[in-house]
Order: sequence, then C-alpha cells, then structure tokens
Amino acid sequence: MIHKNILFRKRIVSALIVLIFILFYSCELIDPTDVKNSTITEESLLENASGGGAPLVVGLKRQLAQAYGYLVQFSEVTSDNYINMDVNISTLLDNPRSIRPDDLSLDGSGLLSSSPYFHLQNLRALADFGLDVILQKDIYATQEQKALTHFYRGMALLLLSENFSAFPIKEKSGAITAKEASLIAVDEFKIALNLTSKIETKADCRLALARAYRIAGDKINAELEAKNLIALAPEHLTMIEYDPISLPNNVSYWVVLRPNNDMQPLPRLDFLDPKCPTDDSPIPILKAEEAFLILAEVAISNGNQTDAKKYMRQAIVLSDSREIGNFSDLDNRMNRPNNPLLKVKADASSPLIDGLIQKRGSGSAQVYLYPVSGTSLIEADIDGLISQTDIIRSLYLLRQEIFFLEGRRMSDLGIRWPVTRSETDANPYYRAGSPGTSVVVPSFIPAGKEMDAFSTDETAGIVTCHWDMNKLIALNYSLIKPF
Amino acid sequence: MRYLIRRRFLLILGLLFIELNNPLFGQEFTGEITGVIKDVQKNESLIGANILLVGTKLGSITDYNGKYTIKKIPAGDYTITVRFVSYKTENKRITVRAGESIEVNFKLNSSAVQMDEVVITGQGAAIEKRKLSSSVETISLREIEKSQVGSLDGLLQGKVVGLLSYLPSGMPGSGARIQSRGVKSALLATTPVIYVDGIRVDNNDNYRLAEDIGGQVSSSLSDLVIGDIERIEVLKGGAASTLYGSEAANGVIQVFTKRGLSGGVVPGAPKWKISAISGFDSPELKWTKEQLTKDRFYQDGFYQGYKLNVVGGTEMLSYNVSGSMNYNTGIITDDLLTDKVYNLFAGLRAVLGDRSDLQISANYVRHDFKSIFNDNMIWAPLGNFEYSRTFESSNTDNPDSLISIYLKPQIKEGVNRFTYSTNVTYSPFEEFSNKFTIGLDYRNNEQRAFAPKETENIVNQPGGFIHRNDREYLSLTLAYTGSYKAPSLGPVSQTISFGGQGFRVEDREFSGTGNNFAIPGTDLIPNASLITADESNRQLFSGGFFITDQVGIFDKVFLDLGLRFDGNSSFGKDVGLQTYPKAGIAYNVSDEDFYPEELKGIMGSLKLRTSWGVTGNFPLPFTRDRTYSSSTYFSAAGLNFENPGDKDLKPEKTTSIDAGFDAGFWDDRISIEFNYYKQTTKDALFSVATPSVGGFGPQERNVGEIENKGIEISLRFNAIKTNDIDLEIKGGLATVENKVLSMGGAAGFTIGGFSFAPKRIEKGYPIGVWSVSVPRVEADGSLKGNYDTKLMGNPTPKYTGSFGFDLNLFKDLSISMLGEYASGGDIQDLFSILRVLYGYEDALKLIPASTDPDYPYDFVTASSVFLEKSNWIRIRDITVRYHLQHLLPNGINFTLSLRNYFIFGVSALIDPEQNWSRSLRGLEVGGLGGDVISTPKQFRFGIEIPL
Repeated sequence: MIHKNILFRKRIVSALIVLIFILFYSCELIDPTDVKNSTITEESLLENASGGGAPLVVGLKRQLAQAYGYLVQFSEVTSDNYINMDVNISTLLDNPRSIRPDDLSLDGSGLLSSSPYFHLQNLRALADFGLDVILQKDIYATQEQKALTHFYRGMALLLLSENFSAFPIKEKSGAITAKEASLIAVDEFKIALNLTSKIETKADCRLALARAYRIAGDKINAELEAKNLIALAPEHLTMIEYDPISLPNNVSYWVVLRPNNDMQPLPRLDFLDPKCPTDDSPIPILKAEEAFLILAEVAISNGNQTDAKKYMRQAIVLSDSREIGNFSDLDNRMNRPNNPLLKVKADASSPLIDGLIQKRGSGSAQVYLYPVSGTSLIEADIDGLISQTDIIRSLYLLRQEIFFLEGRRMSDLGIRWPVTRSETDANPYYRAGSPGTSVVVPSFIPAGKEMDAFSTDETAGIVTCHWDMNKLIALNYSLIKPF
Repeated sequence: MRYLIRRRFLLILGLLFIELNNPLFGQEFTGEITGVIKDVQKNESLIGANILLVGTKLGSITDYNGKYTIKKIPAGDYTITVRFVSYKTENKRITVRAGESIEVNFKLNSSAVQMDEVVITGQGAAIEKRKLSSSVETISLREIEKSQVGSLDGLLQGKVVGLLSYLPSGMPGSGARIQSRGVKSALLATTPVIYVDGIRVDNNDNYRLAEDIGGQVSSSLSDLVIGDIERIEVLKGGAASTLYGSEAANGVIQVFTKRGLSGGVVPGAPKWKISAISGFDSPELKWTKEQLTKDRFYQDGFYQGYKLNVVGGTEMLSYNVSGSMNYNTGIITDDLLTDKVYNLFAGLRAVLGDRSDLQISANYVRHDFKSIFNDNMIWAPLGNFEYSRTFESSNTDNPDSLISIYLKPQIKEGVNRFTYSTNVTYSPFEEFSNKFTIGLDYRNNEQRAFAPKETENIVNQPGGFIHRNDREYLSLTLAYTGSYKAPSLGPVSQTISFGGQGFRVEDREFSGTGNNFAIPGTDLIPNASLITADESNRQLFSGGFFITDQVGIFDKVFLDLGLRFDGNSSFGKDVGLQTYPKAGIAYNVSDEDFYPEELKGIMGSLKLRTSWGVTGNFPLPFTRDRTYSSSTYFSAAGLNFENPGDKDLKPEKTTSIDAGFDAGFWDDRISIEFNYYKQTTKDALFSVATPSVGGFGPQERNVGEIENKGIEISLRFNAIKTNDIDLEIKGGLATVENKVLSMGGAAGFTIGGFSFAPKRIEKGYPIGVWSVSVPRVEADGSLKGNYDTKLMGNPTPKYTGSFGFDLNLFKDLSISMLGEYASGGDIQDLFSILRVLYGYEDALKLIPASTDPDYPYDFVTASSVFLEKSNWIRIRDITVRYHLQHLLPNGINFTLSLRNYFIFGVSALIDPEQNWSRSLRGLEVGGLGGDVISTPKQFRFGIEIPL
C-alpha cells in the first residue's frame, strides 16, 4: 500500500511538470475567450477614416433614397392621393386627425424601421457625423464630397421642414420651428453651391433653395432661385434611384407589387397610377416644373394673374414634354373604379371629366405611365381661369398631379405629422407636449377618412369624389399659403 | 478569466494524465457478486435495475431474468445499492472476499414517490431527489421508450408540468416553442439551454440570413434527434439552475444517452434489436374552410422508419450502437413536405479502474426536408387556397394551371449535425469525485429557397430567384466538476461541489441569392443574371465557476448553498464577473421520529422544501458594441449608423423563490409534488429608443422588470397493482401569471403582430398583450362605430398541464395515453381577418354592426372581436404495445400509436396551438392564429424484434 502511494505521488509530480511545460507554451492554442466583432465598430471606423468621404457620400445618397421612399409612401396615404386598403400600413393615417406620435408606421427608430422622421433625422445626423468626423479625418476628401454632404444635410432639413412643424436638429437641445430649419437648409444649399463645380449639383441646389425659401415664406428669394434654376437648367430633373437588390423602391411594392391592393389612388388621379411600377423605378425629387409652380404662386401672391397663368402653362408644357411609359397592370384591384367609360366629378358640384379612369386587371391593355410628370390640365384650361380661387385651385391641382407620388401633397394640404414618440421618449431635451409633437391638420380638412372618399354610380357611369380638396385649399388659402 | 481557464485546463489534463497511467484491470485479489432483483409484491424479476457499489465505478444492470453479476471486485467492505424507476431504492452492506462469489438478492417495493431517484443536473454532483431543495424533473427510459417521437422537442410534450413544448406548425424542420414558467424576457428566446451528455448543443432558430418563407422558421431543435436516450433531466429555471449562471433563466434540459448496460442487457453478449415502423400522417382539417384546399392541397403522408441497435459488453467495457432512418412523404400534395432523417449513434463506457471510468458518445444526424412558403407570405399556396380567392373562376380561367404554379416555389434544407462528448470520472478516494467533460456540437445547414422562372409573376421577381443560406454552428464545451464528501461531524454531513464550465460558440452564416434566371430548369446561383451574397458572423465565449455546499443534518434536513461567477463576451466592456447565489432547504418530515405512525398509513412520506436563487440570460453577442453599417447601393458601399452600443450591457437576472412539498400517500401509491414559484427578472433587456436626432436606432438595455408566478402540481397514482393489471394514472397542472412590472422609464414597444393589433410590452400587462380597438357601447346601449383602444389578452396560457395513464395487462399488453391542455390564454384570429378582407360571409358576420351607417365597424375598429380564447384539450398520444412471446426466441414487440388524433374544447375558427407569424427578434410568444398547416394526425404501427 505504501509502495502504491509513493508511485502515485511520483506520477502526480511528473504529470504536473509536463503539464506546466505544455500549458506555458500552448496558451494561445487553448485560449477560448477571444472574440472579434467582424462588423464595423467605432474603433475600427475611426482608425480607418482616411478615404471615408466616398462611402460617406454613398451612404448619404442611399439614406436619402430610403427616407424619401417612406416619406412618399406614408404621406401619400395621409393625403387625399391614396387610400389604404389593407392593414399593413397604419390604418390611422387615412384619418389625419387620428395620427398619433406613436403611430405604428410613422414611429419606431432603427435602420429597419419605416419611420420617415427617423430616416430623415438619420440622414441629417449622418451628414453631421460626416462633416464633424469623417471629412475632418479623411485626408483625401474632395470639395465635391464636402458639397454633397452639405447638400444632403440641407435636403434632410428641407424634407423635415415640409412635413413636420417643429423638431430638434441636434442632440441635447430642444426643437426649432420648420421655418427656422428651412433657413438652415438654405445655408447648407448655399455652402454646397459654392463648393460644387458640377452643373447638376448647382441646379439641385438652386431648386432646393427655391423650395426651402418657399417653405420659409421668403417670396423674394424663392422667386430669385426659381428663376436662377430656369436660367441654369430649364428642364432640370433629379430622381431618387432605387437599387432592386439592396434598396428596392418600397413605394412600387405598396402601390403595385403586393396583391393585397394596399394603396389605391383617388379616382381623380387614377390615370397617374402607378408612377413607379417596378422595384427599380426612380422617383423624382427635384424637377424644373417646381420652379414654374413656385413662380406662379409668387405671382398669385403679388396679384399678378397673368404671370401666374403664364408660369402654370409653362409647367404644363414642361410636364407634357416628359417621357410617357406603358405598363401592363393585370392585377384586379379592390374597391377601385375600373371602367374607362366612367366619368369623374371632383366633387358633387363639379363638371364631369373624361379619361381619368383606365382599365386594369386581367385581359386589359397596357396603361399609360407618367414616371416624371403628368397632368390632366391643358394650356387652354389655364387660359379660361378667371377668379383668384379658380387659379389657386388649378395651381394646387397642377401641384397634386405633377408631384403625384412624390410626397408633396400632404404638405400642400397644410398637414404636418407629429414628431414620433421614440424621439420624445428618449430625448430629455424634447419631451412629449413640446412644439411639433402633435399632428397639425388645418380646419378645412374634412372629418375622418372623408378627404379621399368617393361614390361610384355604375349605372350613371359617374364617380363622384366627396370633396374637391383643391377647391377647399383655394377657399381656405390663407390658412396654408406660403406667402 | 484567462488565468482561470488555464488553471482549469491544468487540473483537467493533470488528472487525466494520472489516470491514464493507472493499470486498468490490475486488481489481483478480487471476488464477485451475483443476485436477482424482484418486485416484492408480484415476485417478478425486474429488468434493467441498476446495481452499484457505492464509492466505486463498479456496477451492473439486471437482465431479462432480473439477474446481475459484478465481477473483479477488490476484496473489502461495500455498500451495494439498487435503484429502479418507480421503486424504492434499497441498500445492503456486504463483504467481498478474494476468489469468492457471493449472492446478494433484493426485493424492491414499488413507489409512485420518486424521492430516491438520483439526479445530477444543477447540483454539481449526483444527489437523491429527497435531498433537493428545489424540483428537478426527470423523464425516464420507460417513458422515452414508449414514445414514437423522433426529436427532443416532441419528446418533451406533456412530460413535465410547467414546461410547454408547442409545435408551431406541421411543417418539417420547425422546432417547438419551448417555455417553462412563463416568459422571462421581452427580447430573448424562451428556449431552455440544452445539454447532451454534458455538452451544450445548438438550440437556436430563425437564422439571421435565412429566406423569409412566411411565418415558420427552421429550428435546430427539429434535428436534435438523439439515437438512444436513457434519461432526461429538466430544470425549469429558478434556484435549481443557478449553477448554470448566465444562460439558465429559461431552464436547463440535460439529455443522457445510453452507453450499453441498461435495459436488460446480459453482460458479455451483444444484443441486437431491429425495429420497423410504418404509418400515415393525415392533415388536421378541422380548421380548413375551403373544399378545394382539402382536395388539392393536402394529402395523406406515408411514414416509414427503421432502426438497428446493438448493445453489449462487460461491466468493464460496454457499448450501445445504433443506426436509424426515417422517411415521411408529408401531408402536402406532390410530396412537397418530405422529411428524411438518418441517425448514427454510438455510446461507450469503459471502466478505467475501480476509481475511474470513461464515457464517450457520438451522434450524427442527417436531416433533409422540404418546406413551402407559408403563413404570412403573399404567394404561400395555403393562403391563396383559403382566403385570397386566387383559384376561383372570377380570378382565373385555368385554376389547375395556377395551382401548379403556386405549388412550385419551395424550400429544401439539409442539415449535418455531429455531437460528441467525452466524460471522464475519477475518484482518487471514495469521498472525492471528479468529472471532466469535453465535447462539441457541430451543425451545418444549407437552405435553398427556390422560385423557378415560371413563378415570376406570383413572386414578383422577374425570372424567379434562388436564395441559399449556409449556417455553420460550432459549440465547444469544457467542464469540470468536483465533489468532496467531508467527514461527518456527528449528525452533520457535508458535501462540497465545485467546478467550472466554459463554452465557446462560433455561429457563421453565409448566403447567396441569384435573381432572374434566363431559362427554367435550373436552380444554380451562377445561372441567374443577378447574384448577391451576404455574411453574418457571431462569436461568443462564456465561462464561469461555482461552489456549492450541501449540509445534511440527521439525514433529514438538507441545507443547500451555492455561488456561481460568470464572465461572458456579450457583456459590456464595463461589466465584470456576474454572481449568481442560491440557498435552499429540504426537510424530510416523515423521517422524523415524532412523525406520527398513524399518519404514516395515510401520508407515508413528506418532504418540505424551499429555495431561493438567481439565474441569468445573457444578451446576444456584440449587442454591446457601437457599430456602423456599410450597405450596398448600386455597386458602391455606403456608410451609416447601426447599433448605438452599451458598455454596461449585462445579463438579465432572474431571482426565484420556490416553495413546495413532495408527499406520498397510501403506502406511496399516490405521490403529489407541489411547487409555488415566483420569479422576478431584473435588468430585463428592453429595446430602448435613443434620440432619433442622434441618428442611431434603439439599443437593448437592462432596464425592465418582469414577474412570473404560479403553482405546479403533479400527481402519480398507482391505482391498480396486481399480478395481472398494473394501472398508473398521472396528471399535472401548472399556472403562470406573467406581468411586466417596470419599464425602467422606457416606452412600451411592439414585439410582433400587426398595425391594427400589435403585440406589446407594456407596464402592468403580460408580455405580448394586444393593443386592440374595442367597439364602444354608447349610453343607450347601441354601437355607433366608436371604439376605444385597449390593452387586452395574453398569448401565454395561464393554465396548462397534462393527464394520462399507463395500463399494463397480463405482462405483455400495455396501453398508455397522454393528453395535454391549456386554458386562460388568447390567440389572435388573423385567418378570419384575412377572410374579411376578401369578403367571406362567415368572417364578415364576426364584425359587430353599427347603428350609424356612416360609421360601420371593420376589423380595424373592432379588432378586439378577433381575439379568441386559446383553450384546448388534446389527446397527444395513445399507444398500445404487445409483447408476443412465443414466435421468436426473444419474442416480438408490436406497437400501435395514434398521435394528435383528438382535440376538444377549441375555437371553431383557428387552431389554438399553432402560431402563424413569428414575433420579432429572438422572442417568440405565440398567439397569432392563421391559416397554418396544423400538426398532422399520426398513425404508427411498429414491430420490434430483439434478436
């Protein structure tokens, strides 16, 4: 027994010596604790910021496309342009007064969320990060990259200003008004204009400046920049592009691709739908028609009907000159007039209009498509306008049709979304109840979901929209006019 | 931490080295023991009883005649102990003399009370249940052998009170949604951590880059097919699982495989067994609305399964090897849901000496299955049959052709899984035992979701698409457990256990997508015109060490103290080791002298117990880091913000209080176990918004508090026990009350559901409460189209349980039944909502009428009416087994079983057990009913021939 114990101890000692030796040399082999995050961490980004200007600009461009897609989708539903037929888009958007800061489509933050507010703020913050950090550290950064970063910051502020009444624009501070933000956007566009050497970017900046001045209520500068744009690029067109693989056009998904018929247009606008039929269809964001429409609105404000009508005609001419496409719309749509013989009344007292409804569904012929601009008005319609109300009504009908599915109608109706609850819950400097946290709906907007309601009388062959919203705008112009 | 790991390695390898130098069978002066184990009442031999010499590795198992032999026992004094399920354990003191054989026979008393059963999960060392201060459930070999179910999640159904294992659909490859004692996290999965022979195995589902095929997701639980399971131990979280630290809040499931000498194997002679099972699967059509669906979508599936098994060896070296293959044509037309499983298993146990043994198990699974796009997918065939009116004459002139196109997109998945475990035990002396575990679980799956060119119009992808996702998962486990039984100090005995455990996980996914095939007939990515790829990698290390002390006083009162320290690479950089303490006490009252004799006749045994402990649930890897994204945009990479990061990220911590009793009545023929539990999860991970103005999205932060409480009662009753009839009745009830106690200042958030009725996390409500519109009753009693938004319902059933019986007639015939039930939960009927959308009268009439024609109700303004009670009673399984003795030397076993054939008390609208659309992130709480392919009714006939 004693002998066994000695043997045992000897074994222990020899084993330990060998093991200590092995472990001393093999710790790298057997260390299981090291983990590596192979995505881009803050440390790895800041250590490798040189050359970061290029991906920054791509990121900004992509983010604008993403933000714009959601803005277009939800603001079109909120406006009278589109009716939401299904449940996957917030059902409260069709009734603007019921929109809350925690709306399921508008709220939420995160890169996978659909919140236009989040994505616009993300665009703005990314531009800030680019200007403050990336471009400062990138020794290869170009003037053009700096110009574009300022331009995208301006676009974020412009789109926020058009769709929200007040909001914060930097961390640890409260909200500013839309007007204040639009003036900051003006500054950004001016810096970009000075930095860029490209005509396209200069034209973008000129038009964006006109648009920002319009929202800011600065008639003189709006007119000046609109004319600058016409002088520089009278047919200017910038479209947001969608990459079908990494960033498909989400608007086409909801207006065409999903067989659930989620978004259906007001019959008055049926002829314009679908503007973007495929997941790589671009959507216009800055186009020269706007310059003419801003000039028309300035002329109305100046009491100059002749000029107003002239600019409206020019807008129609330009719109008519844009490309026209074809599309086989073979899906049978729910709750949508589908007979080309049907005539449409803008409201019960309006005249019947022909040719607004196109035949769709299985067996139908191809329908026309207006990927850039389309309008039912012709120059003669403008010539016949006499009263100020009719001119304003037609101007806003032109804006509605030309900017159809471009996320402009809600803003034209004077509706402003509330800043989301995700922001006010998380931001101690901007709590619920602060300016901008409630939906703004002008008093003339009809109750409930009435704004885009219509009735169809198949026997008489008439579709009657319950409200001509452009007439209501004209009658209540003082409530929403920019200047 | 690294220092600790190295220290542990040193210890493990050192001890291994010593042991391997030990002469294996070098005992010069040995004797042997033989004997017979019988049932005291019936005087029948007991097959498969375990005999062990306490303090050694020497033991045996009784054969078909109840006989056992233990050879080569060093001369000396021993305690011999005999254990058998459903019997009281017996011990005897014996003396073995060199060169002699002694006969030691036992007669065991049957008992419904399982107090003597030994469990090892969660205690550090093996321990009898009577000493436990918290409940550990076991599923015995007998119960496992009765089941015809292949995978672990199916096996768990109805077996453990308080543990739910619901299969979300009848699609192959979709694993069960397992929950124990409610939902403890608002973001992380409820699946318990699973160990096979001490090795942590993959229990994940919903892979990051897998194709979205609707509502169902693939799960690694579905291929957790383990050839030969001997026993399963289940900890339902709480103090019992404290020693598993940061991963144990949802409980722990330990699977132990067979290594040879069990189940009546005669040592020395290989025993072959061949079995064949065939049968049918029939679709559950109770909730199918359209005749066309019944005629054209479903079929009866044919099942066949074969298994060959050999066990044998000696007391010193035994083995268990088996191979099986199963094939099911599935219940969808054209065999669109085929399911093939191949399994190879080998278990080995070698006694390395009288102080040490080595156990090895290796399991390989090949799983090939098909699925179809389903549930919430627009082109899912079932939805188009059941509500979209796609195949009606108003929509198509050629329904047959359209149906065949809708059935073309499909998903094929192939899984290779290898699980390996080595366990070495070593007891240098009787009081001190050591166990070393090392092993791995490797799982690789390839998913191919294919929509051929001819389906381009229905999938809205020109030219169709192929999406391939490869996931590779590797988990390495390394563990050491030591146990030291200190010398008794008078009436006080003490066992100290200590150890450490570490695991490392590599979870890598790579996917490729090909869009727009030029020609039909190919599903290869290079044949597509547009090719993209994606990748996602995760790594995790978790390590910890523990010490427990179990103090016995007069062998009646047992105090249990423990502490675990954990480090984990998913914790924030400012977070150090986490501590998990536990304490408990068990008191075997009926062993006291003062326990009245007259009471013993009624309540023969009574154990009171209470425990307190902390467990954890660690965050997902890398959630702690601030990260940026780089996304493609027209072939260029674009920078953006991604995750805000949190340096203080730590595990959710669940503190549990358990109290209860185990009692045996009427000569231990009735056993009742009762638990009360209350579990409070603090630092619960909630998705907390960051200011949008900063550009980052939400961050998971430790801010919430969640409570689960309830009771669990389980009952076993040996109702009849005669020579010819043996009837055991069993049943259980568990309740759970789940509530979010605090949001920590964060706002409520959505975890799933749809915009008109999302499932929410809200303070004061159960996890997943629905936010719905409730029609408002006006003062005059009418409905005028007004509504109020309210939080209602609970996706987690409040009452669940099982019931059943085992009846043995004339030794050779046995009939068993297992039923399950659930009540007190809700399910949202999305199926009816979709039928409302498409104007089906039966669904439209569910919506209340408004007296104001201008304000009619719809499914949005009256979404509350689509919340259904999810009550159900299901006869999960009825099995009849017959042992035909005379035809062959060892007889033949016939088995007939019906699974999921009967269901009662359910909603007429939707299958309450299924889940139509998956929640976001890792958490899955269920409660969404839709047009799901229900779990099929299964009929099986099996023949088993022992050779």
